[in-house]
Amino acid sequence: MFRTRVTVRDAIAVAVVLFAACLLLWAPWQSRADGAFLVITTPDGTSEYALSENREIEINSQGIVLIAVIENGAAYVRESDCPDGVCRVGGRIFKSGESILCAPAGIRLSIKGGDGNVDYVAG
Amino acid sequence: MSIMSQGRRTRRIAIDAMLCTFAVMLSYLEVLLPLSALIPLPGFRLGLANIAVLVVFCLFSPIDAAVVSAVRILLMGLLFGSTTSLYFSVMGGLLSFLVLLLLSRIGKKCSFFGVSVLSAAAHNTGQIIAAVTLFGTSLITSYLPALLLASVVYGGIVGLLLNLITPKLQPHAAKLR
Repeated sequence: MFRTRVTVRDAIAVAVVLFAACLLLWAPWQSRADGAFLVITTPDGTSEYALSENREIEINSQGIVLIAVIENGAAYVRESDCPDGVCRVGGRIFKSGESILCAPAGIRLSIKGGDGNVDYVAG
Repeated sequence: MSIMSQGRRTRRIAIDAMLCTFAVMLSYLEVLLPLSALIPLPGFRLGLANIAVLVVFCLFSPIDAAVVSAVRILLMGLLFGSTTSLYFSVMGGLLSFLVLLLLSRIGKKCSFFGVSVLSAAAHNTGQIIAAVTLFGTSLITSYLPALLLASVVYGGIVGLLLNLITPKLQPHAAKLR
């Protein structure tokens, strides 16, 4: 069985996790240009919408309805009947590589494209 | 099969069922807490159910812990989730359990604090891996730093709790085995 008092090894374990988090935060290959398209990915397929055109998009996936809005070059989730509600507070995304994820519904909103800069690539 | 071994087998099944119920109760408690309003991270949980898995792993056996974890994931996915969330939970639970097995071999000098932090971090990493495979892009990894930081905090809290309660549970678990 494991020990029941905090040890030096615990501090090492925490340091390893924190180091991994910091490494991922400051990934040197990260590039964030303004995006040009909103890409909506669901289990049923993928669709793209230009950020230059304001619109509302209703997405229905796995019994969850989500309303995404493109407004003034940015995208956000206005409504969702997902029990988690994370996507509603995800804020506005407009930089290439940013995304909003609705895990229960399997919906991902991401931004791609831009002024010739490379999209965010990790790993 | 002799009557004695049949009796032991029945006893073990009954105990595992009870432990599964305990794990499901803890998971349900997490569902009731509106954490997403405070910390808007997909897949973010307190990890209370990990208390059950770790207790069973240490006081009973890894096999019992695997059964408890699998049943909990399946029941919670069927009752409160979707196919996608079930997939996320399976990947998270699997990676977390593998890390737990590894730590039981090489990490015995850790306390439950460190084990719980690493287990929580592995669970979140497993969920991100699930998201990457589901959506076919590595962009999702941008959530991982925040989830790892959260796993240090909440995994640490669960670990400290386990440091306190596990020695008290040990004599009772010995009677049940």
